[in-house]
Amino acid sequence: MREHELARSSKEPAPYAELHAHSAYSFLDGASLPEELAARAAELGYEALALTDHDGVYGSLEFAHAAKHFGVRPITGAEVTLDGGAHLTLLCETQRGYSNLCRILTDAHARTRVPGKERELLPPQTCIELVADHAEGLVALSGCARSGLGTVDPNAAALLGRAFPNAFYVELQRPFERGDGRRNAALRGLAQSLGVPTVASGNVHAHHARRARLQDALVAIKSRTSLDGCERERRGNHQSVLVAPTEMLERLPSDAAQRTLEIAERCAFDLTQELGYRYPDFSDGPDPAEVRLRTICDRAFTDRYAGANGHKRLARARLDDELQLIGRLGLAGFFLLHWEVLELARECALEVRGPGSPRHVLPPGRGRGSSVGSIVCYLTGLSHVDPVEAGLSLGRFINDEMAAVPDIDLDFPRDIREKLIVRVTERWGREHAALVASFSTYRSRGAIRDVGKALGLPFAELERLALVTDGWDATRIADELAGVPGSHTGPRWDAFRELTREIASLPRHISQHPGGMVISTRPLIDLVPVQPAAMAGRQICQWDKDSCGDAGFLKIDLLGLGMLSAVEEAIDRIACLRGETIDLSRISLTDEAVYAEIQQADTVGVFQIESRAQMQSLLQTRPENLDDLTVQVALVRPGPIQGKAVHPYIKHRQMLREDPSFEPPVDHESLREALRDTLGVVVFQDQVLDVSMAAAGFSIGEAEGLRRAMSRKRSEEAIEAFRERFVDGCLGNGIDEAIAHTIYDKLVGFAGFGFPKSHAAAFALLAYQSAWLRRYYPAEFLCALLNAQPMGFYPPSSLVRDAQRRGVEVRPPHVNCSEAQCSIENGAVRVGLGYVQSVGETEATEVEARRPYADLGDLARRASVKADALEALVAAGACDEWGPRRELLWRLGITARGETVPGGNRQLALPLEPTAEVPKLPEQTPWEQMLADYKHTSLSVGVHPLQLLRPHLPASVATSSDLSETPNGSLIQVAGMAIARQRPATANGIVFMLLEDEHGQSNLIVPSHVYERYRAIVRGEPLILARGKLERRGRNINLLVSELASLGPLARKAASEAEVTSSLPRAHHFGSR
Amino acid sequence: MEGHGNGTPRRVNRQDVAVVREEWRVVDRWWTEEPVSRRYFDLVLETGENAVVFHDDDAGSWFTQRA
Repeated sequence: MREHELARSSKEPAPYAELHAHSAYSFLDGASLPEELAARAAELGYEALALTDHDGVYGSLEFAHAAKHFGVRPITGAEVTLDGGAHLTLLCETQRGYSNLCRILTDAHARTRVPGKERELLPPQTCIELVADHAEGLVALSGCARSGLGTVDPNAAALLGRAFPNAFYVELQRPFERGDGRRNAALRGLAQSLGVPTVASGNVHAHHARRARLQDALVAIKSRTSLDGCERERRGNHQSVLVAPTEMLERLPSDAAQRTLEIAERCAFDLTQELGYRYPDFSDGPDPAEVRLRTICDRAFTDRYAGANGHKRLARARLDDELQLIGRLGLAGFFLLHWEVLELARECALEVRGPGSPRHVLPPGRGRGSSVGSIVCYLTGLSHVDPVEAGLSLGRFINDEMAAVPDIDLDFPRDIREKLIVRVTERWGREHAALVASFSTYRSRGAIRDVGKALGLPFAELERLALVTDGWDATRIADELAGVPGSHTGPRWDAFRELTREIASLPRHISQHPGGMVISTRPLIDLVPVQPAAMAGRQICQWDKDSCGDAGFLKIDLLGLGMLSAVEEAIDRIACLRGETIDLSRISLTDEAVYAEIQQADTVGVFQIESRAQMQSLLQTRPENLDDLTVQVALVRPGPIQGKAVHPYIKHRQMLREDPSFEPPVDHESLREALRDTLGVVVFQDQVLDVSMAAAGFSIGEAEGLRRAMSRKRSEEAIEAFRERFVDGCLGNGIDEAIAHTIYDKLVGFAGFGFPKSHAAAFALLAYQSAWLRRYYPAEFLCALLNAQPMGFYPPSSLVRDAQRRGVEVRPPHVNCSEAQCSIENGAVRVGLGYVQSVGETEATEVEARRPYADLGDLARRASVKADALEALVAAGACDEWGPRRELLWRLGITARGETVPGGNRQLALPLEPTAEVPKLPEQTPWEQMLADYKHTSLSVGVHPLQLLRPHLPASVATSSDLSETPNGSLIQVAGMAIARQRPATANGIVFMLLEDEHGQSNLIVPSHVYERYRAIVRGEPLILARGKLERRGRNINLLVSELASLGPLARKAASEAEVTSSLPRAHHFGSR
Repeated sequence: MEGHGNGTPRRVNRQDVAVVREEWRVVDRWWTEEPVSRRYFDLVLETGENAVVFHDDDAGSWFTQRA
C-alpha cells in the first residue's frame, strides 16, 4: 500500500489511536526520536498518540510540543516496570494523574543506585501497592505482550483492576509472534473475569519500518552482545513499528481497537500547559523580597564603595535603577534565591578550605555570563566584577521587555561545587531540588563501536575507523569508511553503513548536566520524575535543559571551573610554603611584566588565552590592560571569527598603535559608539543588541529576540525573519539598503557563538590572575595546574616542558618523596604518585601515608596496593633510588607481599629476602626510560623524545628555535611530538597542529587536502615530520604543510625496537574530528 | 502450494486449507549472507491434518515444515 493511501482524508476520523509507543528515550530499545514519531503519526493520519517510554518521561515534553506542531494530540504516559519485572502502561488523564505518574517513576528509580556503589545501575522497579495508591488521574493498561502484567501476573492485574476503577484495561497486542492468538485469548478471558474492557495497542518501537533493523541492533547493544547472541531478546520480526490506523484495525479486534479512541479522549492532560512550577521566591518572609534584596545590596554597597571611589555616585544611581527594574519584573525573589545559594556556597567553602586557610580571602565562587553586568549581582556576591568600573551594560541580562527569567551562571572550584550540589539538595529537600539531566547521544565513535560490535565486525577494524573518524557526525561514517584501506564489503558492512547513519544523534543514556539545578517550591517530583545520579548524594530530574526551559523551570547553573581550583590551590601552597597571603582581588591589574609575557604569547597554562589560536592572536593584538584582555578573551570565538571581526580588529589595533589618533572605520556613523571599545567590529554578544538598536531602532526586547534567535539551534529561519524589520529600521535611520544588509550579514555571521562582554570581563580577570600567578609563582602554579587536570589546552607533559623551559625544576614521582598529589619540594615541583597510571587516588594516598619505605620489600609488604600498581610505581621510576627498574621489577616478582585480612587490617609478610639471585639484566637505555616515563605517568621530566631522535634526523630538519631566523617562504622540515590538534568548524577543514621538540613548539597549518591525504598520521601518530613552506605574518610563524611523515619507524629503530608509538601521549584534540 | 491474493495459503500438498489457525512472521539474520524473512502459517487442512508452512520472502516460494 502506498503511504499516501494510508493517510486518512482530513474529514475522515482516524479509527484508532496508538496508546503504546516507545521513543529512543526508552534507551537502547526505542529507535526513533519523539519528533520522528510525531511527524510519522501525522503522516499516517493519527489524531492522537501516546508516548510510553520505559520508566521515564525523558522525551515527553519534547514529544508533546512536536506532536502539537504536527497536529497530533499528545498523550503523556510511561511503561512502568513493577517488582518482578512485569510491565504496566500508565497514561495521564489529568494533571493529578501526571503528578502521580511522576511520583511512581521517582519511586521506581529510587533504589537504582546502592549507596557506596552508585556507579552500578540497577533496573528501576516499583511496587504494585504504590501504583495502586497513586491511581487517581491515571489510566492503566495491562502492559506489553511479552512482559505485561496481564501476561506474567494475572493476579496482580486483578489487584490493579480494583485500584483503577473504570480506568483499567487489558492490553491486546499483535506483534506477529507465534502464540499471539493463544495469549490474546487468555487476556480476553482475564478481562472478562475482571469485568474490565480490552484495548488494542501496537507497542511501537520505531516510527518507520526502516528503523526496525536499528531496533534489533539496539537490543544487541543493550544486551552487550552481538545480534547473533541476542535472539531471545530481539523482537523476532519487524512488526513493532508505527503503521496506519486502518492496518491496526485489521490486526486486532475492532472493539479493542475502537476503544483506543475512547481512552485517547479521556486522556486530556496537556503537558505543554502550565504545570504549576514556582521557584522559592521569598514571598513568605516577614519583609517583601524587594525590601530584603535592597537591604542586602545597601549593606554591601556601603562596604564595597567605601573608599574614595570615583564612580560611587554612578554606582548608586545604577543600583537604584536596577532595583527598580527588578521590582517591575518581579525578580527580587529570583536574586534572593541565587544569593541564598551563594551563602550556602560560603558554608561549603568554609568546610572544604578548612579553618585558617589562606583561601578564605577568595570568594566561594564567581559569576560568568551576562549577569556579571549587574550591580545587584556584584553586591550580592554573585559576581566579582564591578560593572560600573568595567563599563558593563545590563541590557543583555535583564530589561523591561524580557519574557523569561534571566540566567545566572556561577563558577566554583570543583571541591566546593561538589559539596554545594549536595547541600542545595539538602537545603530545599530531595523532593524539591535536583540536577538537570543531559542525554548522551550517538556520535561517530560511539556509533562505530556499538553498531560494529552488534554486527560482529572485527574489533581492530572498528578501532581503526574510530581513530580516523571526524568524531561528531555519525551520518558521515559510511563516507569515512570509504577512505579507510581494506575490504569492507558484505552484508554486515552494508548494515554498518546503514545503521550508523540511522543511529546518529539518538540518545543512549541519561547523564547529569554539568551543573544546572532546578529548585521548586511545589515538590519537584510532582512535576518531573527525579532519579539518583551516578555520584553519591546527587539526583537528576528526567528532563534536560531544553525541556526544563520549556516547562518554565528556573535553572541555576553551578559550574565547576578547573582554573578556579588551580588558583585556589596555588594560593594555598604559596601561603603554606612562603607565608605570603595573596588576595587576588587586590593584586595590581596593570603589572607590565605580566602583560609583557601575554604580549609574547608566553601563556601556556594561562586561563582562556593559552590556545594556539589565542597565542597567534596575542602576538598581534598585544593586550596592554584588562579591557584589552576582555576583548581578547571574546575575540577568538566562532562568532567574531565567522562575523569576520578578527582581522579588522587586529588591523585597527596595529593602526592605533602606529597612530593614536586613528579612528576605526564603521559601516555607518550610527554604529560608532556601540563599536568604539572593539575598534569598529562586533566582538561581544551585547553589541548585537547595541548595533540593532543603534542602526535599526530595535527596542531592547526586539534586539534580545534577535540575539536569542542567533543562539538557537537550526535558527536560520528565525534569523532571516528579523532581516526585513532590521533593514526597514535602518532605512528609517537613513542607512543605505546595501549597507543595512551588510551590517545584518555581519550580525548573522556572529550568530550568537560569542561571549557577552560581562562574561568576557569575568574570564579576562581570571586570565590575568592566572598569568600573574604563573609569572611570580611558576612552581606553585604548575603544581596546582597538574593537580587540577584534566583542564585547559595542553596535556600535562607540555605544561611540564613549558615550566622547565622557564626555569621550574620538576622532579619525577618518588615513593619516599612524592605525595599522592603533586607537591612543592624545596622550590621544585614533585610529581605526585597519583600521576602513575594504575595507581588510583586511594592507593596513592595509602602509599603516601606509610612513607618512608626502607626498600622495595618494605614497600611491597606495608603498602596496601595491588600488584599492578606496585609494578607501575617501579616502571614509572618512583622506586629508582633502590636500583635499576628492570632489576626492581624482577625482585618485585619474588617479593612476599602483605595481605589485607577480613576486617581491613594489613597482615604483613615476613621480611625474608628472596633466595633466588637477580639475573644480570640489561640496563634501560635512555629511550626505554623516557618511554616508560611517558607510558606510566603520561609525562617525562627528563630527556625529550626529540632530543634523542635528533641525531637520527637529517641535518636539514629545523628545530622550533630555528624558525624565528628562517626566511619567510622557505621550504623546510620540522619534527616534533604532536601535542595539540585543532580542527575548528569555522576553518573549512583545515587542521592546526602544535608540535613540540626539545626547544619549544612549532605551529603547523595542515590544509584540508593534505589532511585528507595524511589523515591517519595527523590523527594517530605522536612523532611527526612535517614538510612545507614557512609563513611569517607579523610576529606569527607557521609551517604551511604540504607533506607529512610518521617518525614512528625511525624512532623505533633509534630506540632499538622499543615500542615508541603506543608509549607516547596522544595529542589533545579540539573542534570537530 | 498455492496462495490467496492476500498472501495466505490456499492449498497445501494438493489439499485445501480449512483453517488458518495462526500467522506469525520471522525476520532475522538480515546482517548475514543468509537473511531470513518469512511468513509462517499454522494450518488445518481439509483432511484434518495440521501443517505449518511458510513463505520465504527472499526466495518468493512456499515451504512446509513439520507441524
